[in-house]
Amino acid sequence: MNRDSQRLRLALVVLLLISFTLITLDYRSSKGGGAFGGLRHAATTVFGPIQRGFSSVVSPIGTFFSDLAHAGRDGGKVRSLQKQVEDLQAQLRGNADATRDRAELEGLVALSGKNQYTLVPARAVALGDLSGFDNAATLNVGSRDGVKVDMAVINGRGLVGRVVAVAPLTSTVALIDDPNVRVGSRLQGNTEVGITFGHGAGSELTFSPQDPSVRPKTGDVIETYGTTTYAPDIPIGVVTSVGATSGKTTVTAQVKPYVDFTALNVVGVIIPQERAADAQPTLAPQPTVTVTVTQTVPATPLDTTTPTGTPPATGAPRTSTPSTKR
Amino acid sequence: MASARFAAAVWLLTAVLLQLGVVNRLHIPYGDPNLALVTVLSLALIEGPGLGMTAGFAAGLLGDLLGTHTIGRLALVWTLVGYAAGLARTETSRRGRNPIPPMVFVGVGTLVAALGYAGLAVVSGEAHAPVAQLARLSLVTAAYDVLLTPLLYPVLRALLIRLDPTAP
Repeated sequence: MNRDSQRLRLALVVLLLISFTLITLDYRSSKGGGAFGGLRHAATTVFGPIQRGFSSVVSPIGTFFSDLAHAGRDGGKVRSLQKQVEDLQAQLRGNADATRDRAELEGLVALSGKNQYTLVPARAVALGDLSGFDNAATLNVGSRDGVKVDMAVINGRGLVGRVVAVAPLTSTVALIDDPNVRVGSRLQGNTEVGITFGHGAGSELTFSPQDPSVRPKTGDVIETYGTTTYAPDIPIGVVTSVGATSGKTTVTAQVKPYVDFTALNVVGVIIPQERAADAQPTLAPQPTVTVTVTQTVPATPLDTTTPTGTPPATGAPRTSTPSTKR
Repeated sequence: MASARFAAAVWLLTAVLLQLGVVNRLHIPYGDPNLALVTVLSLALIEGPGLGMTAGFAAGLLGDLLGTHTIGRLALVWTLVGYAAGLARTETSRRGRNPIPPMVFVGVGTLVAALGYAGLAVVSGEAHAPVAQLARLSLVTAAYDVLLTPLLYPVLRALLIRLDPTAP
């Protein structure tokens, strides 16, 4: 064995030891915030601006290809969506009553201190993960915009994920189809809580209610129930099939997420109420939140001003609350 | 020598950013090629185990830091496959024109890397996707990486030879 190959092996051992130490320390400390939060922060701080700049240069390429891929599916949708936008704009203009109702509702909701989202609009500048197995996204907003770790991320369709790392100009989001992300959730119109978790990119989510008496049905809507991370009533997805866990009485449901995780573009980070004061809710280059409204699925509208995501089923009892007070 | 290393580093960094910013959102059916891993394996096959493991460690650690999983997982696995692919260099040869050996090594390297990465998830107790899905994804990625090799490898080799013609 010559000296060169000895040196090589020594270097290999050193690199492997460093990696192994990182894994051990990061894993052991992951419950307490992570020993390498700082390291991660540093890397995102350095590479965030590069990724932002990079995406603004190359994203037309990505958009071109993804448009191409979606052309068959979405070609006809564009016209009908444009018509919807026009209709909605007309509704907004002529809807003074609805606006007043909404203001009342807002007051009520603000009083209860929940369910009113303050959003920081953002764009996903990078998707996925270098391993090819994890489901993550990088957003072009960071701590300068008021984004902090553990905030929820949504788009016009529903829940996208949770912020796991923040740099001044960018942040990293773990998507809810990642097996490591578990979301406290419930059936729409039901107060029994459960957990929704993913199985990796491209597969449906699983909703598992804690109370075995809860029986999800195909077509039921799953939404968040409100935890420190996830504001309540954010739509997650719709139940496609129900299957009993073998040997147990609990029922699990397969859930098709509303969000298309491979086509993330405009999203919003929800700033919790108490933090909303020091956030900057708008950024010039991004589309306004009105754009997000145009992307909504009919049953689940989301925007910053309405008590959004309030689906008709749960919305009805709430709107009736003011009348009982009078 | 230094300029070749610098070119390799720039290429690798570009591959990482392209992978995250463009390739992952192209909606390629069934899975995505891994530009960064193909670059690491190609560098190893062209320049040997030294550059192979360094590139693997650097790209892997960057992937760890920019991702959401336990830091060090990708670094550990990619260091190993970079080193191993570098040992195969004599088989492929820096001057060899036959495109088949690098394709084979990149395919095998991608599979081993996927296996190692997923295996570490099981060992470290992290939640992971069902094994069947992991296997399918690994095979798809390996297939795409093999197809990517004849496009990427000759260009990278020509560049490195041009910058450092004296190397063996």
